[in-house]
Amino acid sequence: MHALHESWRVLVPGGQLLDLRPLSINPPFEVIYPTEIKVPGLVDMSLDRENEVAANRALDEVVQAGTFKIKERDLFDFAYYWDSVDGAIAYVRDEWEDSAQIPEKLVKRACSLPASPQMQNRVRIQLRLQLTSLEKA
Amino acid sequence: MSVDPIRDPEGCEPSHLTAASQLAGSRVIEIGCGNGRLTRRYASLPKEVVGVDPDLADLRKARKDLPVRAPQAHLVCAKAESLPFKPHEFEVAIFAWSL
Repeated sequence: MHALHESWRVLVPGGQLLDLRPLSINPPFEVIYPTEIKVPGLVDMSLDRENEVAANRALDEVVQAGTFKIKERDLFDFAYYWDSVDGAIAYVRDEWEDSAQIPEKLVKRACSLPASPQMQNRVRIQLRLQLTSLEKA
Repeated sequence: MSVDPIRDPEGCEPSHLTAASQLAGSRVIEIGCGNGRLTRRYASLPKEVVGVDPDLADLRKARKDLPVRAPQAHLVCAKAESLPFKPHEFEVAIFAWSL
């Protein structure tokens, strides 16, 4: 909330505020083959839901206070690619520990899929990103 | 130690960002720029870019990776709640994965 007030202070009248962030929608864990994509399960992003609610609330408050008005909202995908199933699982567990979890069922299914050593970037997780454009009132 | 993935090779993030705003010729502040992962992808467009983050180690990495064609990009170590700038200094403020 204070950060949004500070951004309001440093913006010129009519200036633009852009809020870009991933949504806590569970994305598919995609294993890519030359002719198909297999999905052994969904990555659980529920750990991040609390932060998302707080950020939404902060935006709602400045809009309701009349300091910013929402001009536009856009959704798009942001893809991560790994060379291997193991690499993707290790990365999510190490680097996204505060926001995501890989269910054990997904790990078992993904590890039982046939290998495709000739492929590069064979695992993909696409987060859904939201870009909100606001104007300083 | 886990291996870094390839992120957004399609360039969706910078293309949506530039489509949603007039970065070219503007004074832009990115609040919570972290290691400059996104900053460096649009840094050559604005008249001035200031990336702000409280983490000095991240800012060092951001400095190292900023493109040489973006001399108008600056990095400042500060908290989002207390920005060391005068009122009305920027046309665009960006929170990228930081709100």
